[in-house]
Amino acid sequence: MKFPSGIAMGFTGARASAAPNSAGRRTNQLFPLRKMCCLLLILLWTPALAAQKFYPDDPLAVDDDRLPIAMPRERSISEVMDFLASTFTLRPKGEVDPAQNVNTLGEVPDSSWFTNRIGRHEMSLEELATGPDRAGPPDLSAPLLITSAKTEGITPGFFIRDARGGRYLIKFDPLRHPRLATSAEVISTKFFHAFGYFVPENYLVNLRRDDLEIGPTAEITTEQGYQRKMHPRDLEKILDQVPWLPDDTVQVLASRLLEGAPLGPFRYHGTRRDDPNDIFPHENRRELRGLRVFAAWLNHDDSRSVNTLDTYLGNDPEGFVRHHLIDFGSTLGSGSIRPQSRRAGHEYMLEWKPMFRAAATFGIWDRPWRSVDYPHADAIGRFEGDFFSPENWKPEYPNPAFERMLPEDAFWATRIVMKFSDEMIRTVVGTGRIPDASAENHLVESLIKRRDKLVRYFLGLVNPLWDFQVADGRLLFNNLGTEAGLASDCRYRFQWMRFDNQTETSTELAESAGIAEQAVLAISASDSPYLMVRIWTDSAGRPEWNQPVDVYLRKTDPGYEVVGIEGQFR
Amino acid sequence: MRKWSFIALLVLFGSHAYGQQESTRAEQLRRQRLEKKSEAEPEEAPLLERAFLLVEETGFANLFALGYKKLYPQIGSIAPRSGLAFGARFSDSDLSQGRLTLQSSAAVSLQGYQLFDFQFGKMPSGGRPAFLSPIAPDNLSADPFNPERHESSRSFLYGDVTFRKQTRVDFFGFENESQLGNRSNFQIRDASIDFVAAAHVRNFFGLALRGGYLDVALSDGRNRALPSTRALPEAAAIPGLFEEQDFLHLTGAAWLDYRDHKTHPHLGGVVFASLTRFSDRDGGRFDFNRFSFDTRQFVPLWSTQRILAFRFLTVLDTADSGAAVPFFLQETLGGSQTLRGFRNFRFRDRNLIYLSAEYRWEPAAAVELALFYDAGKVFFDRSDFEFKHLQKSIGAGIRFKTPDVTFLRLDVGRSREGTLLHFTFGASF
Repeated sequence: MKFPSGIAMGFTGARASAAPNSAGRRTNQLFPLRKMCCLLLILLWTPALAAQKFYPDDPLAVDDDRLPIAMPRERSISEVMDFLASTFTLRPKGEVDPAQNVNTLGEVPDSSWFTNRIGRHEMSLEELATGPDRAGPPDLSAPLLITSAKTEGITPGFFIRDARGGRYLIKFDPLRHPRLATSAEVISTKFFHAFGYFVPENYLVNLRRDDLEIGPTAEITTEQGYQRKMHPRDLEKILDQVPWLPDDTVQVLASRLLEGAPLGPFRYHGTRRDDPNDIFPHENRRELRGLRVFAAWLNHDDSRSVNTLDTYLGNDPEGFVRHHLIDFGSTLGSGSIRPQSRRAGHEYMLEWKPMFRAAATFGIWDRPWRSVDYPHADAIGRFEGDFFSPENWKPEYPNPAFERMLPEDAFWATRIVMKFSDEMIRTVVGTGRIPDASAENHLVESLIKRRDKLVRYFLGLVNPLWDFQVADGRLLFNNLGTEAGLASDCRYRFQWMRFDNQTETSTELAESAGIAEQAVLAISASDSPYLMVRIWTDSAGRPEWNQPVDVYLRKTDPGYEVVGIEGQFR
Repeated sequence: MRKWSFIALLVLFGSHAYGQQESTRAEQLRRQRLEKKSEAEPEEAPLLERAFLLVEETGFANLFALGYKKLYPQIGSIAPRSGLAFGARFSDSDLSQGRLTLQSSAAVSLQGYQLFDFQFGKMPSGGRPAFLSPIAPDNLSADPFNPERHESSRSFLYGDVTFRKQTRVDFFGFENESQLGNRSNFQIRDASIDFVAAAHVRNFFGLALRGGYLDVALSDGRNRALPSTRALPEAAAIPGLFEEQDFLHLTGAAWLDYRDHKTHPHLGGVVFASLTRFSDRDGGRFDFNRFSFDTRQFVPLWSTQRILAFRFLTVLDTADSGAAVPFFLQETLGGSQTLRGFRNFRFRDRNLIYLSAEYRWEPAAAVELALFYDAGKVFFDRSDFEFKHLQKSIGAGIRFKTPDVTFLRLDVGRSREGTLLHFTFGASF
């Protein structure tokens, strides 16, 4: 059972009755012992009646976490504290609990955090290329009105309003690397949208100088950190720092402001105390644990709290909070303000072992990642697939959710990554408008290599059986490992059992064990409302696949349906 | 008995209702959310996080704004041995729609050092008013532009007015064989009115000009534990010790910069040369020319993790016929930037050569370790321009860096005169 048990909550209610009353006396002093025992027996027995492994609405496709709530206060998260806490205090100690927000099939239900897209249904190339885009890019039929600007940091930016009233954040590339960050951000946005996350609408737009106009109330934050009215000279200075293309335009990223009131970033651990819908500790959310696989694929090394944003949708107090990933400027080969650093994805900012090793050897011992060859392609920065190692990939500093990723979490994410065909990858990369064809090819090929490495590694950790379906009295399934070409000589040992949903016990059915050469099992004859079949995959050279997978079937009118899947992972 | 039966029935009913309430997974989750809703409370960041947030959102430099947005306190050092100094700085870079900057600062140290300055004009971001300053302790700088910003302007021009008082500047005598035991001290007060102009002609090539008026007055040093330089038996032979002098000066400088990174170079180098004319306005007794040459090279050793860094610096002063180079304008060796095993101002004369080599390696992105070897000498006679009889020091250091600056440098230097610890901000070179 992945969701918190109702039995435990029942006991909590029973204990409450023994608390001191307002007069300072214990309530049980009022009860004769015999009567108390009767009461306790009733109390203990009654919730047990309600206990069951599968509920009628399992497997849950949607976790409706949109209970109306009062708007939480906007908050900020200290980057330094996030780094310190993530590096020193939030590392997992001992055994890691399984993810909590999964349904009985091990899937992540749709929620305010995640919407199943390519993982649940086929996506056309057009859908992939469109991604989250709905409103369209800024309307350039009239100058974009700058409402505020920032000069701090190395890359400047504007908030603008277009003729249709659309509000966007305009982000530029670093001066010496035109198209680097903006293209990477658009490509990654499409990927993360297809995975299922909430992301902003990010558009590539080519602007001319006269496409921008300072609004009457536009303010600028100066280098000294204070705000003042924005002057034409400020605009000139900012536009002097951006990479103009030969056609006198500059490629910018127009990021449409997210719907709702911003509430600040979410943390990768704990829950928001002021959001009642937020009941699963974030480090135990499968979509945040599995994000490590996606981040590794796209080299999203900056996947930390500061690059997330919660927004409040609806009218206070009838609205709810939605959780977004934002800012993909440091993905693929881009490091936002320069090509991605060589360290990115290979080592944390602060990692003791290599640090002491390099210090003690006077620098003679060197990190292997320093000597990785990257193509000389300004448009894509540093990205490759040969040296990439899925198991060793790291973000900038430890992420509490990533650190708790278990093989089953990775299996969930890998199943999504597997859905991307070469053609799909090429289509998504095409949305980045990379002008250099060979650089674009390199990017596509690197993504394919990284995808294949991820699949090979993470499917190797679990028994990779999936897509269980009942048809014509048989249980059909797929071996994702053989689909991925990791093995071809698989046989499936199985044992059918009767399953009692109330007591959660299983009893072997007579003469129901066997070995199947194909991924098809005849469902054992039984009048039990629930059946369970335990399946082991035997394949030479794949001992990890010998871990059993339990598949639960529930009797319905036309026959059985798959209601639960559990892997017993080592 | 009836009462307890009633209660039991009530509990049984309630419990069944409870079980019924959770007849679906969705209801179970909803109930958990309703429970949390009844206990929801506003998020409050812990005190430590609030403190960090304040620094991050305000910016460290702006954290201590003195009630007015362009006025900030300053705490630091005015000059070597000044002790801790306290003051304030005003800066407004928004004049004429951001074209012009006005900045001014005032600071006084615990040792009585004083610094007041004022600049106005078209300045680079994070302007360096002391660039090419004619008088110690401002060292030669290889690039007046803020290296990590893409300046919207490739040139600048500003005026600089500075008044400074240093109350206890050490003097050990001239030439390379001066003795540590001959240490004395003097007080120097200087005031200058200068203009500064510079331009980047290409990304790797720059030109600069600085000129103006300099007035200097000397008096007895305030360190009573040491003799005053003016009281030394040979004081009369020290050029410029007793006269109040004023100069017109003009410096022209050029540099080539081909480092891969301006503040944390791993490859390439920089070559800087300048020529300065000092013209004594009181009869020309201290007219002289100065030629400076400063080059730094950075060589990676098969990896950017470890590099060799080299520096060669020479300053050659040539007095006009019958004139002398005032001792307080002579460049010196020793301290945290040069000959790190010796004290500040330890060696002083008309000419100097200085060589430094560092083996630097980076165990982490933000940490640099270094072993260094410094050698140099000062000399009067140009014929001594040779790499013999050099003063030497060795040492090791640890530096903490952000991607753009070295914010803390701890160097330990050892020489025949002992071991010194330098705790400084900024790179060695």
